[in-house]
Amino acid sequence: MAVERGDRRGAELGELGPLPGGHHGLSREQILESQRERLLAAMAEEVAAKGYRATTITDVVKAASVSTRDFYEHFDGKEACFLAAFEAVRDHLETLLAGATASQPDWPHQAVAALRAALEFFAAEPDLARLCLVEPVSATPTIAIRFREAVLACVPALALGRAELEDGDSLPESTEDSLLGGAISLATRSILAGETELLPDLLPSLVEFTLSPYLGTERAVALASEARPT
Amino acid sequence: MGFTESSTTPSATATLAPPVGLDDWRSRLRAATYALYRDLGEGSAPPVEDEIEGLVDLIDEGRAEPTAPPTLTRVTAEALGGAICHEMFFSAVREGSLSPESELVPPLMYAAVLPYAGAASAAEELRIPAPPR
Repeated sequence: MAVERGDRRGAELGELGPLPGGHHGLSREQILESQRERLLAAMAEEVAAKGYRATTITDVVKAASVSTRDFYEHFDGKEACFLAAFEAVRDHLETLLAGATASQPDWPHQAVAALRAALEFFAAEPDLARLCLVEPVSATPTIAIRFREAVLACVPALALGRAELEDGDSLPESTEDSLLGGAISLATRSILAGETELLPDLLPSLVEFTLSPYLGTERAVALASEARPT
Repeated sequence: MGFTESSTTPSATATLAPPVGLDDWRSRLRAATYALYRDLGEGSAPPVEDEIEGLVDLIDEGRAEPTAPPTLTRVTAEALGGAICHEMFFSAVREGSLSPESELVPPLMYAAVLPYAGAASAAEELRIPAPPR
């Protein structure tokens, strides 16, 4: 993923610090790619620290060690840079969740695995948690709509749970939307409370909450118990 | 924050006023949810924290329902309160204004009632008309 800066995945992602001066032997494409990655990482970092509205392009270019002129070679403005970071995280999460669910035997366990993977990812990446879950609602209308689209893109995977019911159509059409909204709201509360690293603790409650409409309370509670940390 | 405590914004004050004359939990929750919807009106600002907390408090009273499973915690109410506010806000963002209350609120009531009162009671919420303004 392009927006990560930490040492943990440094070898995988490449260093995101400024390029060495002088003759570094990098192609123009490599330089642009490095700049873009650093700008995305800086956007996540600055927004996490100050919030979207208070973050300026000056903050971002300074943190990325990129000139303002170079910033505008990549993005039209702050909103475009934020959206690029948001989409990079979204793409990464999609890959992560696909990997987490692939080996699961059935839909209920796939749902639990997806929830676990998402919570663990955001707990390990608090800046990205804030960028993806907290800021979009109050940033700009365009960002809020993009966030909304990302949430709605999760609906089909959750709606597969209707096959667990005798009459899956008995659930209101907006059920998945409500469940996703509730899950996001719970995660957001933890992040705003400064407890991002504790997000995985929400897993049992989220499992019970999101799966009960499809599996009934008894089965959902059993799965929530399985998901409880030992 | 409870429904009877003071609030920091005029809109929250209006929304969080405890529904008068409604004894049962579902009726009070329904009245509060419609009040929140009507309070948001034409604006598309996210519900304020007090509004969400007040709604969460009321939803959480569902745990006292005889049908409520003992495993439920306040976290369920927090999720449901967040879901209701999320839906209302994004309905406004998506459409430019809130969807008609008769389309938006009953499914939200279904979701809110389901964990505490079960599927039959939740399904009833889809057929109950909006309270008068």
